[in-house]
Amino acid sequence: MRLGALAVGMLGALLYAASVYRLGQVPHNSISSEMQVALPRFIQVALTGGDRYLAANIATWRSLVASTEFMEKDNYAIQARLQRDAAWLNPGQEDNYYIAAAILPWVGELDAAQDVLWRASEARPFDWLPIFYYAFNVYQFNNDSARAAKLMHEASRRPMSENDHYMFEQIAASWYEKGYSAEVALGVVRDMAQKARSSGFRKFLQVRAGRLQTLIDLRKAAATFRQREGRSLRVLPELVDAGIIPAIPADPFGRGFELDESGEPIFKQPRGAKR
Amino acid sequence: MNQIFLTGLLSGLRSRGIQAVFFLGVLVVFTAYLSASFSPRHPQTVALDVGFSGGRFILVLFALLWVQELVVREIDRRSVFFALAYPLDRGQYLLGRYLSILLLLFLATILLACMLLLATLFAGRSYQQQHAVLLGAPYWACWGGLFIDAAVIAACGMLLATVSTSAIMPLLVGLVFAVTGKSLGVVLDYLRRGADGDKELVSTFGPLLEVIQWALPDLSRLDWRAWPMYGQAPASDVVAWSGAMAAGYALLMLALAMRTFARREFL
Repeated sequence: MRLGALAVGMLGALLYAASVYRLGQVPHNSISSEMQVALPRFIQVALTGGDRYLAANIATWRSLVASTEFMEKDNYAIQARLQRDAAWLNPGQEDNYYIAAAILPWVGELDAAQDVLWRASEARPFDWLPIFYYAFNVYQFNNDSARAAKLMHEASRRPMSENDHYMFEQIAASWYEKGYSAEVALGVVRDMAQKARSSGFRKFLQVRAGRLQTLIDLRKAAATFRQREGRSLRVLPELVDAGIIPAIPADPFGRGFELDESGEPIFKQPRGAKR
Repeated sequence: MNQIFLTGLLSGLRSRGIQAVFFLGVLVVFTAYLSASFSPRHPQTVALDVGFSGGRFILVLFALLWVQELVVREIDRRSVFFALAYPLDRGQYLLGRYLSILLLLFLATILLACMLLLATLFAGRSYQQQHAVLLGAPYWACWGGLFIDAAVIAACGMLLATVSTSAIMPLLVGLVFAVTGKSLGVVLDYLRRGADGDKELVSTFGPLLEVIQWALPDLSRLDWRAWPMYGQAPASDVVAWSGAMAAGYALLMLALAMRTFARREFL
């Protein structure tokens, strides 16, 4: 009996050692964990024991910890859905609307961003930020300065300091007068970075601000090119050939820049994203 | 009945399962504190939010475990005969036990609320968030709602304890009841708002859920955390009707429990 147990034990040890040795030679399957699944809202709520607030928090944390550098259009679509779900479950979740404003419109998910921001704006009447970002997106992505200015007027009626109130009115007035400017966009993203508490998120926003600065520099170079050559750019390397810039700048997010129909430099969009 | 109430209270405080759940409560509050660091914008709100979610779950567990400890186990071990040897009817026995569970739940709620209050204050030390959380009356009102929620589940657990022939059934079915009751409001809300245009979903489940809401209470109505977190007080008539719904349902469950317990034959 004792001998039998010893034999079984030895057999087990041998089997274990052999399998550890064999598995050590086989690499693990690399699975990209970034935003691959968004469960239906019912399931999200059921998995949290019927707690919609906890379901909203979990969805927001998923969005917060995802590495956007490695995400493609499909991943962003899932993040957009997840953030919409979070906004439906708890529209007042401050991190959710903040992340939505910082990421979604820049990756072709403007509708989702505006949905999240509008819900937050309604759920948080004491907070002027969601409606401010909503207005900013109308200005930046819909190129509708007049509507954006109107929304800024609305935002300025929310509780805020007198200085902020005047600042909002001034922004609204300048949007009415001058239309779109990328410098304004840069200012907003820099301000978001300054107010972010998490160092990782702040760094992300700072990189995004740097990217906007690069775009502004490229647009200035394109304007110089137009002035000098009397025509718009056909391809970006023309700026290098004309000696206006030494090289096409690198995009910290690895996507790069391209030209729109009028020859104006823009960010290269994720594959398949709406411009 | 006083004797039943007091023995229930002492047994509840002494039970080991409860000590384990108490430990879980400390863990949940600690998790709430840690979860605040996930938030770039409003750490105290997130600490509160996660703490309320954890507290809601812990109070349900407390309620069902105390029903298990004070009623189900006594029936299972037949020690209920000693209690029923007092000159009182079976209904009074159940009522005494329920009242002791309510008092235990009340103490647990106060304890959890104080721990979460400390965790939230600590979570806000390193970052001044733009919109402060309300840790006065709104905070305590929210815990009041969670206490009422647990009281309804305890009443349902009492009914399950009197009809159950297996010791684990009241705990399991009670948990299913709690999750379903808490999810019901969200699902109804989703369907009533058109389910994002999914007409088939609305037509398939809508009528069914409209019927179910008469049998199951919408426990999400007792979750008032938007008040301390975002300063959005629930409408007073909604609070009153939600309280009435909870009280009515708990009374119905207790009445049914008393009736079934009075007719139960112990073999």
